[in-house]
Amino acid sequence: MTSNAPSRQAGAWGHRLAASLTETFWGRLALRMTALAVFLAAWQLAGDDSIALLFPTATRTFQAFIELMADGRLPLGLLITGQALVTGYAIIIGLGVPLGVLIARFPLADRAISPYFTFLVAVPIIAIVPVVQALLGLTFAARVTVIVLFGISYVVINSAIAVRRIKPDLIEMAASFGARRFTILSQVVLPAAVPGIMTGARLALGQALIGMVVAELTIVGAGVGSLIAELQGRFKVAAVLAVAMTIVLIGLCLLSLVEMLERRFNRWSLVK
Amino acid sequence: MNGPATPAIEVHDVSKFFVSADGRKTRALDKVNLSVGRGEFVSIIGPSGCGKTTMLKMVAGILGWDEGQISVMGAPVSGPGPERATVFQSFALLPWLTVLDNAAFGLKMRGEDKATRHAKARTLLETVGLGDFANAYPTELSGGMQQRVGLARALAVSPNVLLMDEPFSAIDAQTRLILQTELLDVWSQTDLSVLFITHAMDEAVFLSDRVIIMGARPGHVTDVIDVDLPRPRTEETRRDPRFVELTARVWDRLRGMMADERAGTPS
Repeated sequence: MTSNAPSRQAGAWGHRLAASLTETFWGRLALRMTALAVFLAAWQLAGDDSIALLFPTATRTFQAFIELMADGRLPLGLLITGQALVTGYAIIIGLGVPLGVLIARFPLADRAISPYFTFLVAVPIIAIVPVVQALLGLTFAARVTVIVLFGISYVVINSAIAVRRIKPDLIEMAASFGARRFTILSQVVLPAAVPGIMTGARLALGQALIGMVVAELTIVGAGVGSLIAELQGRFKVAAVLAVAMTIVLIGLCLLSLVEMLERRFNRWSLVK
Repeated sequence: MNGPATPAIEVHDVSKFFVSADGRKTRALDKVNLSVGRGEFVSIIGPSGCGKTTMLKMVAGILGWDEGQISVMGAPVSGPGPERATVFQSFALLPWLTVLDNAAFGLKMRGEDKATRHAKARTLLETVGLGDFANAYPTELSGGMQQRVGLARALAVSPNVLLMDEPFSAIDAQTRLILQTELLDVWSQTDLSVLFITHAMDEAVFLSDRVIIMGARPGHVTDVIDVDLPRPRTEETRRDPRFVELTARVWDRLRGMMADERAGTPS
């Protein structure tokens, strides 16, 4: 018993350290910073700056990022791409939620339009991009359409499921107090469906981000996708990496923002 | 016609059919007749499938019927009305609203402005003993407290008729007895007429002036038992031999019905 006491104590110390690293704010920050430092060091060692074509080090990538920011090409690209993303995402939410509600509340709408959204989930959207391009040309509208096609079905389907899951007695309750159809929709059905709609919105954002890059790489525009294509054509590997990482970081920020909103609204669905 | 002589609720020869999946019409309710007098407390009890909840929803105006007439306060029912309010078995509280906003929800549906409905809802929350929980959310409350909110919401619209659909059946036995006494306290201070659906025999007898017994397949009224226990009813009432006798009589009628059913439908 006495022989393993020190090791047990060490185990307890390890436990306490792990707890302080995962359970306090500064602990978590220290943990993440260490992981980031290890990652950057490994990247620095793996990179090779002797020839521009080789995998760049972290410092060379960062330099390329600064240059692209300074000459204004990256901010301009982000702005143009951002416009397509914001427009596309607004259409996804603005059109997707009402369509989902319609499908859930009217069997006729369900029969008529549900199959198309099931189709959109099942089919690789990238295969339809040439069709969009043939229809709309190399335009802003074409890029927005690709983004919408990528994301909208997730909002439609999740909204419809959320509306269908509403307990009928909540609707009966509102009706018993004389609420009309529209009031029931706005005061009971939509609020009750918010957690489900938020899940759809989060999934759709991930898809819209993919759609955004796909649209830029296949349909020429002036955004970050074409910036990547152009830099790649001139073998500026570090600059390509800088642009790609910027897109990924912005995407992650947007996703965690939507995730935060989703968690906030989830309290609503706690009652079964 | 609208004189005080008309009962609060009058159901006359009401039948309802359900169309089953294979397209056959089945009779769910068969020529049901019942009435609830002004200020009277009436319970409906019966086996599951006897259509007692269907009956209540029709009186509430949220479910239609096929034959017969239903009147509330002398006027024929053609939908929900301001003189009726319903308390639901599952409480039917909106989880994204506070207790106060839930209690005020009926008034909101009736178009009352925010200040009026909050003042009214606060008063009713005090009445049901939840004054300190106005800013809590329903999830933070026990089942008994949630149903008190449901009762406050119904009473807030100042109805003449209170419709209660097995309101205490999802609540534990001890809390249930307390809620029964509290409900009678609230009711005795008003001139509310109550139609109360239950499947608990002691509950029906303890609360009511009359107990209506319904049978199934199709739903119909089989018996009406007058409860002549004195009011106010208290915990003493539950030990009253007359209470025990009446509860036993309700059970006899229900048991007889169930025995008939077993004999009539070979399995």
